[in-house]
Amino acid sequence: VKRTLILAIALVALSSNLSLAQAPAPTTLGRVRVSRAVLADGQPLGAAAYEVRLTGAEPARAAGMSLHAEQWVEFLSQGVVVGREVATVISDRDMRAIAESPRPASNSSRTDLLKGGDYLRVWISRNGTHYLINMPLAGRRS
Amino acid sequence: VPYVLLFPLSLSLVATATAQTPPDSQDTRPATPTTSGDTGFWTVPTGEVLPLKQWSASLSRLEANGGQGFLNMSTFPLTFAVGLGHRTEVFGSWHTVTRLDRDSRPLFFPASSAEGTGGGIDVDYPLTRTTFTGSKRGDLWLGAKLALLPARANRSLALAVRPMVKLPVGDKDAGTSSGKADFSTDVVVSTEAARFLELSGYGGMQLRGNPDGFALTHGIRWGVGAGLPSRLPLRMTVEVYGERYLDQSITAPTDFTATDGSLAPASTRLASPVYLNLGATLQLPGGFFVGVGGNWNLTMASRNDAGPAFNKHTFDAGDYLIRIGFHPGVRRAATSTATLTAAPAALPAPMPASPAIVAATVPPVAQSSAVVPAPVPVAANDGNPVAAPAPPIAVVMAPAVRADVLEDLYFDFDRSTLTPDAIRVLDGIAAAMRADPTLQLTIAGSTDDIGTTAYNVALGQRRAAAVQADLTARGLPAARITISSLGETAPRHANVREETRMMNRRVRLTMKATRPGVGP
Repeated sequence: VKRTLILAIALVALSSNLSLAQAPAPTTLGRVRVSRAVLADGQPLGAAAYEVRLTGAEPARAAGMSLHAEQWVEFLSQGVVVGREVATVISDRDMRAIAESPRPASNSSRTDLLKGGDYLRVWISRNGTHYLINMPLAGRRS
Repeated sequence: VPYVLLFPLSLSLVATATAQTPPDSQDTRPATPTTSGDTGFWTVPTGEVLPLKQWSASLSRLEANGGQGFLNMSTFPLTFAVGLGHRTEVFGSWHTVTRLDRDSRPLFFPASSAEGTGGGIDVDYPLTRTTFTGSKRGDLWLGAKLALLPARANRSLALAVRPMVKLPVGDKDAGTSSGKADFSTDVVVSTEAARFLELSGYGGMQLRGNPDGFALTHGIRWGVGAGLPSRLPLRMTVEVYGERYLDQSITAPTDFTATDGSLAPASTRLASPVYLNLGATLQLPGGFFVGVGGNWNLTMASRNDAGPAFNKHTFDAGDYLIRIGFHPGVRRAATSTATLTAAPAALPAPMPASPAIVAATVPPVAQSSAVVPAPVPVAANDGNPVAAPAPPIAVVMAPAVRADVLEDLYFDFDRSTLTPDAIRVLDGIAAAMRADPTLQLTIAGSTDDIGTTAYNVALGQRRAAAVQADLTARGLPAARITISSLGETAPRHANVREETRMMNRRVRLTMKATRPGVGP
């Protein structure tokens, strides 16, 4: 019985490691309203309400960039992925140091027009982390 | 047989570690888990923790010896740890198999020596009262380590607290567990010196639960350790650790009898133990490691000190250690040497010239090395003046005869701080400039096009100034470094997508050699 117990626990540990080694499941960041037609990853994304979720994938990092500072997010409409873009990920602590405008309340979001209307920013605050998704307005000069 | 099976099982376990996404190898240096499960050497922890969502695992065989009953303690800790957040790791160590071998005959007897070696009970396994327990289930330790200092560039000092609890899941009847919970809390401080030597020390309290009728002792735990070379696959470790018992005497129930009928002495005099561990660990780049070592109880007296009936045994206080496991490494301070890459300036210039460039450079005016401090105004291309965060030093320098555009250095969104990754690149540049005093460096800061033009000019200037400040902090003269800001005017990639826009947050580094035949 004891041998079986030892083997069982070792196998549980093994299987738990395997599950941890798997790619992270998408995490829902919340529902946002994109008030203007924009380009998400260079592709058109119409004005509408979307569910935004974190994929766990990260773009290639260049020398000098922080780890996990950028992550891919997806825009979903009625459960279907209709767009994707890279979000800038900033901790609440760092955001306090750099944000000039008020931060959204915890676990909420807002959208802003930046730079005279060139960009639309979706700013999501979730669990102490800020996700900034900056998308140029569709039709703007590149 | 079960513990033999655990080794191939652990091999399978650590093999799965390769499926784990490791942190960027350029940002980590090798590390291992302790036999408690947290990051450290073999027994002595370090102040560092696993990166977020990274995990470690190991299986060891530990042999140690105690003076009471000439007890040999063999344990097989199976450890697991995972990084939570950026400053915390939680860990566990289950002594899957514990084997206690008590050599004294009779098993219990009153000691004639003052303390240390004798026929009393063991403070950690007080219920042991047989010649050999066989392979029995041991206890489970769980703990957490909280790093008190955030990881910073150029700081290798790490400070942490480590609370742990022992869950008495071991076989109480066999004596491989006291049947009571123990608690401990340690403060850990560690550092890495000269990218070669890792040093660590810890101290704290251990609180022991008393089995019914027993009166054990609490103690002050302590330990110091060193590992070297800290960044090479084969590392040697030296550890000295121990415990200062708060009570030198512990007691057992008056009727506590061994299997041979001998009666435990009413009081057992203890010697506070001091152990020496010497180990060698070979760790592959992926994090998989194997290690062997030796353990000595430095305060354990010879058997004949316990009485004339016992003979002296050679190497009675020494034993061996082996381990196998996986650890993804810990984040290292930005003190390593980076490979300096350079692209010849003859290649197509990646950065188009722009009339709107705001520069802080001063053209060469003479064949002189004199330094001319010159406050340089910075103006945005929309005509609005912007105050540069720190006036750059203008340099009067000899005409360059060769220029090399180095690898760009990138920044996070809206930031001008240097990451450890960036500082490593600058390690190489600083080394090259120290080696050749004629080398001059120009730094041009750039941004993406989010934000106003004026803001981006200032941000580009801050980025260039941050690089300059890092290099001058290393002793390089500011006169050899020229900075400027290009703001958002010189994008190398399209700003329409973040994946490419992020590549515009950078500084361009150009090294100029002022005499032929030299250069990076």
